[in-house]
Amino acid sequence: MKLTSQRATLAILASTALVWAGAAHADYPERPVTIIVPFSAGGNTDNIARIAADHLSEALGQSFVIENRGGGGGSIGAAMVAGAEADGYTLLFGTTGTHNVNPNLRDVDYDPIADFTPISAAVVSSVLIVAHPSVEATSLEELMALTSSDAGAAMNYSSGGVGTVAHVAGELYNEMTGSQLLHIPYSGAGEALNDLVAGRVQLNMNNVPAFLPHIASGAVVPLAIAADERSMLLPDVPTTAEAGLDNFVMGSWFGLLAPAGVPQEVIDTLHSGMASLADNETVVERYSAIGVEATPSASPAAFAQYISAQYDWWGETLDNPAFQE
Amino acid sequence: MDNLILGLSTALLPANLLACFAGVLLGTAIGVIPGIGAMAAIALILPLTFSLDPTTGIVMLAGVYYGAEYGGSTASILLNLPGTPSNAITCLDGYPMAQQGRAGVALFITTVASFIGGSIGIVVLTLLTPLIVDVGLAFGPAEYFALILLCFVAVSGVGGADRRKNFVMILLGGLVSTVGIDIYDGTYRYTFGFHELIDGLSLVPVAMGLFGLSEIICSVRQSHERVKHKVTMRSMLPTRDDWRRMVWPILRGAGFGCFFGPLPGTGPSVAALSSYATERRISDRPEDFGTGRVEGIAGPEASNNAAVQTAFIPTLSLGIPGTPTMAIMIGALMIHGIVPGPMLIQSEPELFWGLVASFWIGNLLLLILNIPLIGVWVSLLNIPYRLLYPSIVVLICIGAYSISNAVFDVALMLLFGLLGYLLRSRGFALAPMLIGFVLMPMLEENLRRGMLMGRGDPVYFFSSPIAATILAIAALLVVAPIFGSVLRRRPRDEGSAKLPFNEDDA
Amino acid sequence: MARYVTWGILCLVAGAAFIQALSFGFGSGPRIGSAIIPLALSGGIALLSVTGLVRAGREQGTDTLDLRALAAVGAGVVVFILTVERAGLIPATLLCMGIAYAGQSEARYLDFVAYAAVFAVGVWAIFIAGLGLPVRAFGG
Repeated sequence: MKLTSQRATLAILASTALVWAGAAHADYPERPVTIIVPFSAGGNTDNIARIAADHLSEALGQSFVIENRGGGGGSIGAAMVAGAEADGYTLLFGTTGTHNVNPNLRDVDYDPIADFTPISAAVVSSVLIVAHPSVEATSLEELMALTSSDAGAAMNYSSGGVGTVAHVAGELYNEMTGSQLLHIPYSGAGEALNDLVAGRVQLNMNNVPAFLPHIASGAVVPLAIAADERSMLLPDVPTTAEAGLDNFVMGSWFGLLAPAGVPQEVIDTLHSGMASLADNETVVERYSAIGVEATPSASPAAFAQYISAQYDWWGETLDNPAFQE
Repeated sequence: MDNLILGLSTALLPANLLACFAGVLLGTAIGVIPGIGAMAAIALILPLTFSLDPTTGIVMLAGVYYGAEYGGSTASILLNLPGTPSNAITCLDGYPMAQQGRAGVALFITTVASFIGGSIGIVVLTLLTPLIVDVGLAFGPAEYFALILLCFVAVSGVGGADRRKNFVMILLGGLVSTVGIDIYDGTYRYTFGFHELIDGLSLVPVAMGLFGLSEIICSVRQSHERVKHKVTMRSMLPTRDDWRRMVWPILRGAGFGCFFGPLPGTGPSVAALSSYATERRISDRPEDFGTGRVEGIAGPEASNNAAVQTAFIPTLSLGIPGTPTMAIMIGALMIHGIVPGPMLIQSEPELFWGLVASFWIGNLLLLILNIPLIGVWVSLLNIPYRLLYPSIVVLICIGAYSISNAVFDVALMLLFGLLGYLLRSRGFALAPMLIGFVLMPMLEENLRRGMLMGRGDPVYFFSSPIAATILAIAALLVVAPIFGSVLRRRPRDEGSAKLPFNEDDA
Repeated sequence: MARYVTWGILCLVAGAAFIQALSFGFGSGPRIGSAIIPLALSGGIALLSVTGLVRAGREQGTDTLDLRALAAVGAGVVVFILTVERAGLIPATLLCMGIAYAGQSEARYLDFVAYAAVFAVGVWAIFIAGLGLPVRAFGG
């Protein structure tokens, strides 16, 4: 009896040691983790990342600290993480820009696929087509008829610069509907929106967050969302397919990635933290305040697949003289 | 009324109240110390506000700006060294007053004048901004193009140095601003293979180098004497005669401030000079000016404080900065994703009205800080500058580093610091360079945008009555530089000899 | 002498910028290319600098530069750049201050060292402990 209990204790100790040795990273994270945001503080990506970091700190019981490393359209911070030690203590908050657009458009110091182990998306935001109220179209169908006519050649759409989501969406729209909308670039999405509200530009196709307050006030009219499903934030707005424009689905993602070579256990731990993002009421509330929804990926593999599919899609789409530099 | 309540309820939030207090406290301290101006101080504090809520951050930056205007007169009166350039004129009659043992009275009068001038400026700001916004909503590329052109013409006419030098500085600032990716066709301009340059040069290292580091280098070996006068609360009380003599100069000074504050390129220094010149002209004993006349300090101090408040009018209503400091404010807003312009009041009412309400609170705080606590500021003047300046160099380095946590920005700051020092020593004013740096991208964007919107027809730029009028004014300023020469006419024999730097850095 | 050098350098820099700008796009139709504004700006600087050079002899002003202050402050910043990420914020602060201090002629090192030490601790407290600046206090 006594012997057995001693043995049992031993057995427990031994197995603990085994588990310990087998899962060297079982108690990850044991010190604060740095998440590099490759844009300056206060921007959209930074806001989304900070809320996710607060959630991870709470979920994994260790502080996750945001570090802003802006510059080069996000490529400086991304290159930094690509070259960081693969111990799981330096992570990247990547975006469509850092992993899909920039590498297809210009030289960057990292391989967006081979240099990273994706963990999970935090937010996937779809493109919304909005018009100034003066545009004589109440639905996407009417808009397509209008823009492909001669009157369309006098209309403009705005974007936050060459190769941004809004620019690509606009050119894609021109191509798919046979329209001749003129692209007017601005130095940021905010300025692009100002001229839309003032009516100097008639259309804008960009991620939902920027538009929400102006939709509520009636300053801009939402016509369709370029997604497979309607958005919970705007349940009355039809998808592009519903409104008669097939294959016009695009958006941008914001998510957590580790450098390539981080142990699978660490990736799984981090994913488990991200997976509960949509269940945390504070997160849901804070995200909807900035106009986004938490949409964590089902698994790290699913996120990896999504990123590489997006990479290919953007590669094809950007292979168009309108975007070449 | 609703707006005022909204503003007060925003400004009285603990975080904003604290930011306002910290801002005016820091501003006063920096204003008191000769050698660093409000501009350098704001550039220094800007990175610290990145992590704050935009309203809180901008309330703090604004506090530093108008706080420095209050503090600046302290050194003018006690040491005959202006704390900020727009306080230079206060030396003329303030220092003689101190020599006559009336330093306390002079400090009291400048504080009261600053408070009244600032308050009048805030009223004008509150009433005028919404009106300008209504006009501003009609501003498209053509109107903005015209307005920015007018700014350049106005800026090249003022600022101390000669017009050619000012104009070269505007162009040089503009050329520097073209570094980075072009938003219209994606060309990399002057990036020399540096990824760090793709997004363009950020305002902070440029401003910190040009105004912070170069000012430090200039002032390292300036002699800094100690304050000899003791200032007690009792010695601050003005006589009945002083009170009587300061009322009208303060009101007239505030008027000058409200007029020059919103105009591009003029700002508080020109307002203070105009006020002083006017007081002397209308006085029955002009020969007494420079010997310690109350009017000679009350007017200019009221006017520079009115000007710093009204300088916010074009900044907040049109998104066009008239002075380098306002350019930094715009930069701060942009970093937070807020686009200053006609839409601001509508889309961010808390920010706008909260900021205006914080001006009231800040001016009240400054009144308290500057009268009972004057002893603290005087003792600050007695810290040896040889200890102070190495610490400021470190703070500038850390500030530049913290923009994107990279030494690249510190190196850029150093580059612009050296450039600024060399240009400054050759009599080039740096304010036009910073104005060019900030406004040239706007000019280029609006030019190219206007051509697109007008489908290639240059007539687009003259098609609206507003744009045509502004362009006509600009043309008039170029052809007949009478206006410019009036503004430029500095009382050399009085003021400029004591100006430590040739800068309108307000 | 310095007045000629300043205008001369401005002219050379502007000329180089002008030549570089020729390789940017010129655009077509309503699309103004990215070359136009840089060409106009650098061309303007170059022209004005030439007239400045011609008239430089008549310029007023002294040609003095405070080389000692310039060198000390500049070297202090360079040392900060080299050390902040390798040696840490506190050594970088102390070294930068020490070198910049050489820009003026008073010696009195004792109270300076004491002051610098206190200041460095304050810098650590505000920027690393308080604001979370991502640099080590000591070491890279």
